[in-house]
Amino acid sequence: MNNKKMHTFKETVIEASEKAQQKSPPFLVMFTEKLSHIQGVSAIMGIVVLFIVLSILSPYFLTIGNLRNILVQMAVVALLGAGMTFVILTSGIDLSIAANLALVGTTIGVLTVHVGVYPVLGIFIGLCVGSAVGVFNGVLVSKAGLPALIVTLGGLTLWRGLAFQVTSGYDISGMVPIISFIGRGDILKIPMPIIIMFVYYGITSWVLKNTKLGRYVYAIGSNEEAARRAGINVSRYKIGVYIIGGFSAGLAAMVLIGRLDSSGGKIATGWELDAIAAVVLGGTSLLGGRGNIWGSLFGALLMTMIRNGMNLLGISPFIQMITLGLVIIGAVWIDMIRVRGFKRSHRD
Amino acid sequence: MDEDKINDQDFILEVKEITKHFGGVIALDKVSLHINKGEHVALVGDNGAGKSTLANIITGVLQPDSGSIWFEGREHIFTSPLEARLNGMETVFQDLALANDLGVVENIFLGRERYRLKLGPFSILNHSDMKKQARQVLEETGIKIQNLEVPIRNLSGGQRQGVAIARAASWGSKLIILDEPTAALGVQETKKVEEIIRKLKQQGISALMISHNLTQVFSLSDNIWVLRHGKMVGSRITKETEPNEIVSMITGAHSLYY
Repeated sequence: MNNKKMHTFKETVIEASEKAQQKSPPFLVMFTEKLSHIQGVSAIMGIVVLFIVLSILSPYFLTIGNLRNILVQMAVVALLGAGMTFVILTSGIDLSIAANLALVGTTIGVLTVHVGVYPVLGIFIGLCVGSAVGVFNGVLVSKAGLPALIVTLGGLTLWRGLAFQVTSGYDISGMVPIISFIGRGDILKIPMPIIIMFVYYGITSWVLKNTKLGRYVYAIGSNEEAARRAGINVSRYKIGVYIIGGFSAGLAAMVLIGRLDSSGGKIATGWELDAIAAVVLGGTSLLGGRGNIWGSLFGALLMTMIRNGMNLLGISPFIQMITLGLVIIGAVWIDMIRVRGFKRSHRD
Repeated sequence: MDEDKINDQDFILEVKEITKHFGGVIALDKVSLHINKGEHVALVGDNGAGKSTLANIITGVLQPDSGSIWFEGREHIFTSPLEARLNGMETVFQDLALANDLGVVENIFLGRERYRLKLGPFSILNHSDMKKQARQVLEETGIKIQNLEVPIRNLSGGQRQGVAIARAASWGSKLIILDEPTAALGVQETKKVEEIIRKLKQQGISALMISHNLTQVFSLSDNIWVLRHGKMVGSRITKETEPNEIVSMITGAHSLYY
């Protein structure tokens, strides 16, 4: 075999025909595929377009106050999105994440304001409650084998119902100082929600890239059976990602109730969809295995800009709902185009 | 089988009178087989002859109803592929048990990553160490992949199969089970994978290869074992037989001669 250039005629023909079989797809599909290799590209494109359009349409959009406001507003969805990214990367889903947020929010509210528990302890208990909901989801999904969609869909009403029950349906207003600080305070003029958001993204992205957990999250989402055969304790890591989802909900709850200076069962209603849309717009595939955490940050920014822009333009809440629904469907559609692209390049 | 052979050190694997039922169907009927150390053995047979069932029993995916398996001179019926792997028996699965979204290095080390610091699930990966070792393994196995960072899905079928084999070899395995190693590959790709399998032999790693491709079986194996309808029809030394004989053993035409 030392004369590699001396191909026989047959080999040359075979090689040529093999090459010809890999037909090049139509230009548009190729274009989208090329773009889709860059993480979160649809979100970034959306952000740029929206930024230009809103700057032209609204005189208020391009003010420091408003831009700062957008960053503060996006923090809650971004924090939910960070947790959601872990779950979706394993090809799971957590529809209960916003309801969990409400449960943690009311728990912290009741404990610190009504019961008068030491604030730090209240926060700690709140984060434990959020994580416990994650354990509940994770165990039912991985051990009992229930579909994540159904378990967390049930959780969506279960945890919110529990949140209302905890507060007897009333709102709790006037949060304790530490919670207010988390939601409205700032360090060196940078609002706390923004700091928390970036620190959390820094940590989670590091975890995804450099730890056993992160590696296994991708492995499980990519090929669960392969992960199992490689000796990975799949159910343990699946429970792990739902715990991260629940913990993220807890963190988001603190930021939100601090910002609102009140807490109640109805906070963040429907925000699980914003979080999912943020993750998918950020380039993480609903089928798992592909994506990264920073994309979700861009996705969250885009979702918040859409809301903010429509508010500035005085678009009615109904139209806003319609628009966000369309954005979510569009995001999933983009994901599917991407997956088909990958399948095509997956030559067997 | 006489009991004297139990401690025969020349056998890396000995399968004795394995029987397996699926409901009322006998998948394997007192099947025996042995592999010498360093030997490459092919297991052939028609569809449904029980090749995969036997491979699954050897690697611990399935448990036999009766019979025994001796691995490295000790009786050892594995209860899971992981247990088999930890004991030095590695399987390269037909459906490529690779995570397609991960890179080459990630796949080679999947499930046994190297760490800088052990912290349970938050153990910190040692990227550079794994990359260095992966390069070495790929070189030893003769697999050429330029960019180790790209997701496996962007590699060709042959390269992916190569990664799967390299991964098996890198576990420090003594025996590798190859289930249809080239079934999904083109001509050129098949050639490359065959070269990789030959490299395994040079490294002294035994292999049990399940294949439909008789040309391949003849070019790669030392011994050929034939299964038909769940029974071991017999074995032939590759050098001393010819495809026609094996085909007749596979199809049963063989029995007409007797």
